[in-house]
Amino acid sequence: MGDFFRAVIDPDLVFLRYALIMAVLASVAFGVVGTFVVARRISYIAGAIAHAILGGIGLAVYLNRVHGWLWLEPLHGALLAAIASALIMAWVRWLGTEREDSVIGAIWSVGMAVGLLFLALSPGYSNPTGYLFGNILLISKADLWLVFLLDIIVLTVALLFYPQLQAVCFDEEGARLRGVATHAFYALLLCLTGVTIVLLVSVVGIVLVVALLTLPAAIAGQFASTFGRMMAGSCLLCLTFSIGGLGLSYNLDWPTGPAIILLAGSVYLVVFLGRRIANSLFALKRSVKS
Amino acid sequence: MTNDAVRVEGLSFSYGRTPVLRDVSLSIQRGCIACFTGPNGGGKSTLLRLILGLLKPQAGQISVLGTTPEAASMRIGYMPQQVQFDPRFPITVMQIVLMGRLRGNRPGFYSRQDRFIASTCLEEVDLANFANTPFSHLSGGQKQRVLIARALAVQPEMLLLDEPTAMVDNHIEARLLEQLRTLHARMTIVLVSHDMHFLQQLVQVGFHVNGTVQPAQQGCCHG
Repeated sequence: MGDFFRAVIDPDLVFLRYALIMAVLASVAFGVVGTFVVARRISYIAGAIAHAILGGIGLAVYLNRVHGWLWLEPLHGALLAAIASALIMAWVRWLGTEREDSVIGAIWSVGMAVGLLFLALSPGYSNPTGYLFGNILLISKADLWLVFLLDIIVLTVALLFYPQLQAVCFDEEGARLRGVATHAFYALLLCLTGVTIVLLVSVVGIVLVVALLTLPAAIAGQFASTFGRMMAGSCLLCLTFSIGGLGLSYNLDWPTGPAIILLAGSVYLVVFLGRRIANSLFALKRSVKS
Repeated sequence: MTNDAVRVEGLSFSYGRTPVLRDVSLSIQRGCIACFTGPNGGGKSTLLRLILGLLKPQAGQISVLGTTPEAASMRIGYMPQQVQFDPRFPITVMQIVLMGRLRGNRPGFYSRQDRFIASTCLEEVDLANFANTPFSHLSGGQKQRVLIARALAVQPEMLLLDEPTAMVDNHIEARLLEQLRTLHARMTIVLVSHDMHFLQQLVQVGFHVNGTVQPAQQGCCHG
């Protein structure tokens, strides 16, 4: 890791510094929102939103290159697509007449199809691989400022409405009886999830981003007894996996996204197996004593 | 002020094309302990959810505490069945009881007074020492009591309990009975329960719910 940290301060490797700052900034939002996603069990919805982002990216690239909307960056398209798909999912749940899993599947695949189509129709070279699997070279200084701004929004909303969001995740019906606008908060939760996913798409990519949203929270949830502790643990783990994965990627010349996710997945597996073994040993010890 | 805690007139409700309740009329006086009993699928929980304002009737009218169910919901303490909660949700007993102090969409954390009321309610159900215990570490009976404490934290005029004795042993049931008797002095209590033994000791007016509603037990209050 020493080489990695020396490289981070190397003035010629600005992209690495940007990737590190991005990882630090996004870890906070990922830890907070990831806890809501895991506790509310909406990982599949987060997956659909993540994949629908490609539709927004493709459309933004197309409008930029074909119609000269030069102000429209892929990140703006990603944000619009994330919020639109989050609102559609919230609306479907509010209606209660459609199968949610079917709509998740539709948003997931139609979003991808729209993105790939518009990228193919856009003149010039458009390689979707960077968006799908992440490319830290895509991170610009402007992206970092945008992520910082979005971070503040996510944290402000999560802190201001913490009791309502916690209640909606634990007992939606109970929250509704206490006058909480549960449908609006559910939509807000999905929008926060969508915005947060957009934050790290450039580092780990659309395909892998949900793993980084859910694995740290799932690991933290194995040990945390409260929502707040789960959030704090999740933030720390997300930061560790992001920086550790970047370091691995730099030292071993691996692609960054897979390095981060494999590190997170390995720790999750070790924790899962470790707890199973510890529980079995505890049960064995107790049965021997009795 | 009307003397009825709940008044239902000509109520009908169906899920899609499946009718669940037909032309139901009943009234429960304030200060009464009432119970809905009947077979599974008979409409007991649906009737409770209509009274809570979680469902809207397709025909008929419901008045709760002299107003609409939606307007009355902030004055009702509701204890759902504990089996519906994620057993691994990371939350402490105190955090659950505090949910009874939620007031709509107002931003910010709970006040010191909210915490005091929640602590008092935990004392009332003998769980004061469990305030910081994770909900997942509790037994079935303790979880029921936490949900009662949350309902009490509302400082309600009426308590609605859905299957309060489901999944609890006789000892816990006896304690629950004692607690409900104490609470009865302060509020109207409406229960949904299969447990006829439990009902006979406690309930003043009973309704048999099976598509329609018939008086099942008559005491000091009128059905």
